[in-house]
Amino acid sequence: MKTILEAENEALKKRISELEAQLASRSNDASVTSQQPYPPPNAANKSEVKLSLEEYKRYGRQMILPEIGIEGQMSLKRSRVLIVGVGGLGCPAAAYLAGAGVGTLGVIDHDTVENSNLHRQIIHSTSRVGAPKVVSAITYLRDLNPHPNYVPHVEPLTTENALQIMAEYDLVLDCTDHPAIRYLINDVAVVMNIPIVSASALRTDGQLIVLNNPPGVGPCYRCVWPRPPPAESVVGCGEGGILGPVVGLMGIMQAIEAIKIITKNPARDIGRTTMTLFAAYGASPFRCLKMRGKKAGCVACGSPERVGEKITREGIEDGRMDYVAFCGGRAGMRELREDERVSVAEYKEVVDKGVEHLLLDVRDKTQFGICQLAGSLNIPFSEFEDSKHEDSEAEAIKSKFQDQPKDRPVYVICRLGNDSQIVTRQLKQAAIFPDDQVFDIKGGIAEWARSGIAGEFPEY
Amino acid sequence: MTAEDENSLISPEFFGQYSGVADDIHSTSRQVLSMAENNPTPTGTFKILYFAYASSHTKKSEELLPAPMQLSELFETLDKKYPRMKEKVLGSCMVTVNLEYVDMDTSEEKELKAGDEVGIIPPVSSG
Repeated sequence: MKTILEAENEALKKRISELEAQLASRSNDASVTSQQPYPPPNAANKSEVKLSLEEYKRYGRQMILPEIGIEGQMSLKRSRVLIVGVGGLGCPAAAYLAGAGVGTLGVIDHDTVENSNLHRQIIHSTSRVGAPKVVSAITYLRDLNPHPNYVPHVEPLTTENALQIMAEYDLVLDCTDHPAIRYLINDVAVVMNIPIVSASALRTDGQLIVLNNPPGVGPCYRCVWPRPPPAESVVGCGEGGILGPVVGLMGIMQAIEAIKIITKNPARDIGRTTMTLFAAYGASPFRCLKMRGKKAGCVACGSPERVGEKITREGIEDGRMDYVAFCGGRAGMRELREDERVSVAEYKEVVDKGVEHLLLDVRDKTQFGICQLAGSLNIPFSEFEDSKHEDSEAEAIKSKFQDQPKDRPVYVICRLGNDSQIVTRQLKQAAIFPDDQVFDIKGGIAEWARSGIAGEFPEY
Repeated sequence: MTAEDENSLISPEFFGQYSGVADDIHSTSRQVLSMAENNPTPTGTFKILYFAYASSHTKKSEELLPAPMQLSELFETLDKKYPRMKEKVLGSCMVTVNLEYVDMDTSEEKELKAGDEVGIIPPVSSG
């Protein structure tokens, strides 16, 4: 005699085959009635997929939405999504896409988990600090949903590997943190006809845009921003700061856009590119900007006037594209000669010997408030930058030191040792103190803390 | 609009409905923060919003500029007001007028009228 469970099982199986039959007939209809001008991203992957009973239950809450339905769920399962960067954006994006039942989820990142990541990179964990982010992420994702096929890529995305890696995917999420790699992802996605869901966040603001969607129609990253930001204006979350839920929100919105693209019903959804700006502390936190289609003269997705400028697959393959150079070189700079700088150990000696000196800390007021060295004078870097716009830069700088004796050595410190070099150079040029008595402290407060030279000191 | 709708903060409708217009949900934060943003623009001016490093350069998030102004004169005007802004900021920025993208590379003639809202939007790359 059949148990109740067996009977239920029978009934469910019957229902599944009915639904599958319905689905098959509906997709046949669709192919006849609406000729899709642009195939959905996963059209290339025709392999038949099936949902297990466990999956019907797991995805039920989203499947009952008319926007998704069984067809949408099947599309999700057929889809192959690559997440580039599993940091503040990539973590929540990956979690929601894995949860939603994306069939193949690739994750690429060369970094390891650090404890300063954890306030926002929520799928990593304290116990996995030091582990490759990709490994940590997949550990979490597999526990969340064992069904997707997770593909780890523990390496940076480069001009050498990008074409090969991205060829395995139908959709890419740009969750990276530098313009050079954003242009690389864009160019490769354009030559391979892959849409990009792109987001970024810094401090309390974020940006979101779907690019190259549909491929060859919607604008690409170069249509929107043909020229990269000047290298000195590129600020990372490490320097500029980031509110965890702000970047989390942007990553979650990437997951939403990805699901919309994958489950797109061409008859219902009109592809209109918009950019969403989010400002957590703004009077209108969300702004939705209407974009245009691709630019006719775009060097990546259009036909530039000078044909030689057109970015091609071969150009990327042959390594003709130098993305780092295009974006103005690598961060990290050297302004000064070796004899104009001292190490944190050398500065410690100055303090220990009781040498009269001025310690000038050029971090901003917020950072200075977190921790500071005894007896330091705080004049933020931004004030030195502003002095460049004054009629006399030297006079503007001089006025900041009116009350200071001019016969003592000056040591300049910042957080990481870059801004302090620029200020050291400015002080020397302003000739306020004896030229050979102005020094930059190498590596800044961070190095002071890391070296442990003065006992415990907070590193942030 | 139902109470449930109000909670679905990230539905596409939300963006459509609340993009750049005054709304009730955020009235509290509006009072605390930028009072100017939702006030009507005084006659004879247009509003310009500075995002990301455009805001760092000008040290403000928005201001009013005299209207009318030819769009093609905008960058020069800003560069005069904020030294080196063209080179350091504007060259890499996207520009919107009334929440719509405008192409600054084409010689398209467009006049910025009183009450318009212009956005200077640099690429943010971190995440």
